[in-house]
Amino acid sequence: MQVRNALEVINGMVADGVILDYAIGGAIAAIYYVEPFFTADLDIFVHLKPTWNSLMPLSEIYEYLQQRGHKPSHEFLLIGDVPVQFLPVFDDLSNEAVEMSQAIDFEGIPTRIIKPEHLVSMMLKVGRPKDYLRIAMFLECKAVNKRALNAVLKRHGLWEKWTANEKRFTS
Amino acid sequence: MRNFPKIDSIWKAKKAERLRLAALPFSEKLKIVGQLQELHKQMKRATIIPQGKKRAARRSPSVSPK
Repeated sequence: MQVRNALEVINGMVADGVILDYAIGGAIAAIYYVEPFFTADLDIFVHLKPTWNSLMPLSEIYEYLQQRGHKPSHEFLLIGDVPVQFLPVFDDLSNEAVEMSQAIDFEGIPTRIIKPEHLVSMMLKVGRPKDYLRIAMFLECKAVNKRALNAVLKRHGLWEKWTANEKRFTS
Repeated sequence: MRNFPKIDSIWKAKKAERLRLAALPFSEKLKIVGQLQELHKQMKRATIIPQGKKRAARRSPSVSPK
């Protein structure tokens, strides 16, 4: 999995103005904080330019990457051997997650990754069984700052859902 | 609550292993993800043996009909 190469290409997209900003999310971001587990793709949450086409929000990204030889495959774009899924921020939570993401260095490549408190909140919001399992992993590894998590949950109307499900994550 | 020391020790060992993996550098973790993906690809290549043939495959050669 040549993530380094994929991140270089994505940084190029920011430099060329195709996207405003991005942060790694999804399973790969979770793996940054907890133990590794199987995942097929690299999820990239993006801030699109204000002029984006609301009917085809990813058209410019696809065009840019296809011109450089990267091929679409199902819902992904293959950058080298890495299936990348671009997800425009779609609500206040994902918007804040990208805005407040943290800068990291991956094998010499600067990149950004969503913070654990936002990842856990996004997983709670989506609420699939695998998301709940991953939340339990975050809590077991003590990868979240509880106070920061509570603030995010309350800010985005997820506090009640958290208290209703908390036992699942801690038992 | 009943006490199961053997199960407890396995549980604790597994938890310690998970925490060890969680503490690895990100690039090392991604290498493990790559290995898992390769394993997944190999398993996907395995084909399902139709039920009748499966039974035949299970029989030992000594008892298989000629």
